[in-house]
Order: sequence, then structure tokens, then C-alpha cells
Amino acid sequence: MAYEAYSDEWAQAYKDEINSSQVYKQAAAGWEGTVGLVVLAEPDKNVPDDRGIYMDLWHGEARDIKVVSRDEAEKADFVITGPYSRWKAVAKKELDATKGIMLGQLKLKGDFPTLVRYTKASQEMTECTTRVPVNWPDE
Amino acid sequence: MAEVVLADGDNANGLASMMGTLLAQNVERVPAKLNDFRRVDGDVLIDVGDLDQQITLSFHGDRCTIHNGVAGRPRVRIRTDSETLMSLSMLHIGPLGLPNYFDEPGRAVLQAMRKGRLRIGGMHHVPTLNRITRLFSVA
Repeated sequence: MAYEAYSDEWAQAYKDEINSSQVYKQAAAGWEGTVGLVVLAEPDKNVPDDRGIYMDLWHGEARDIKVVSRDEAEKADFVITGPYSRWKAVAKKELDATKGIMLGQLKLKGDFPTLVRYTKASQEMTECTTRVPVNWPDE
Repeated sequence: MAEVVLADGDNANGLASMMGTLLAQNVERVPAKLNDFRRVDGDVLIDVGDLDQQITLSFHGDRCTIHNGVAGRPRVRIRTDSETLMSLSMLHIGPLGLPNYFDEPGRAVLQAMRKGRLRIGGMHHVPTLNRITRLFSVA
């Protein structure tokens, strides 16, 4: 079953995928903090408004993942921002999120040294997104 | 107080922006790194092949200016890929302030060197290389 991109159902499926990952559980064992993903609107791709995803992550567990407004997502400890098409490329394994940040295609706000320490965890989170089937609004 | 400046301002490439943030936050987080920051006193080139991006870090006193591309006369030249660059930041600093190449992150860096994914020019400038490693280590 495929989920509408960035819907509540998608968020629940993403959370379940993270919580079933032993790789993530180990790599993020010491992680404490919230992560916000900001998906910038691309009206020509049927994404007319900015969206946010708020992730409450704690010691290898996703306690909550929900679709929120951009403003709410920006309240997280770490915020990664990019246009819809970049996030879609990440979810389709066409763009590595870390590389995206290094290339300036995704913007990070937060303590970078902490994020670098958890590179493996963030890579696994990206892997988890690729395992959640999605109906993309521009396809 | 260490100051990190992007020479190209808003036109700084993603690698310059990311490494600048990492450097500034790392020195702020661990003030003891300020001594290394001041003592580099020269230019260091970082060339990340898979991103097709190069930056030069020019250290002078309390200021590091990060340029897009090659600038000045780099004393140390680090040529690598994005994944290995992250691995370098994971190096633990052992006794005497030397990088530990015997644990998992250290062995990963040594393997990258053996496989040609990490090439360091100017290795005879060992003190500069060790200072740079300590400055970017988040472990």
C-alpha cells in the first residue's frame, strides 16, 4: 500500500519503519532531540504550500513523527530544509541527505558536530524513508 | 574568540558553508580547540571529488577564512570523498593529542588511505595535519 506523501498515514508508516530498524536503534542509541524537516512548496509539482515533519527521537526510538506546519517543524532542535523535489530525491535514493547538506541543496540548522556523530543513524533514517511506498503529488 | 568567515559570502559553496559551521561550532563547544585554531596559521585545501567541490581554509590568528576553490598556497591538501570526510570527523583523539587509528573510526580512515579514497599532500606538515584533525573531530 502506498501512502500520500507527507500525510498522517505516511508519518505513522515512517515511524513504524524507523522503530523496526535494529540498525537505527543501535546507531541512535545515544541520540536525544527533535528533528524538523521542512518541505518547501513547489506549486508546479502540485505542492502548493510549505510543509513540516516533526520527529521526536529518543535513544534509538521514534517516539512521535507527525506532519505539522513549517513553523512548528522549525521549532525542533535540528531543522533540515529543502524544496519538495530534493526531499523526493532523498526518498528515492537519488540524493544522499548528507551529500545534499554538503552540497547546500538541503540546509541544516542545529549543532552540526552532534549530527556528524550520528551520521550512520541519519543514513538509516534516510533508508527508512526509501522503504515506505509513496504516492508523489507530481507523478 | 575564533571567527570563521566565508570569503564568498552568500555564494559560498555547500562544502564551505558546512565545514565553516562545523569548525565554528566545534571550537565554540570545546574552547580548548582554540589553541589549535590559532596555531594552524596557513592554508589547507579540502577537495571532495564526488561533490566536485574544493575549499581552502586560510587560518590566520583568531580568524579562518574559507574560500571556494584553491586560494593561497595550501600547506596541506586533503583529497577525498564525502563519506571519508565524515569519517575523518569521527576520529578520536588519543593520548598526546594524536588521532587514534586503532579503533573503528581510525581503521576506516586508514582503509580509505589504502584504497586511495583519501590522499593527503603535505604530510610532512604533521603538526598542521594533526591540528586540523583535532579541530574537525567531533568524537
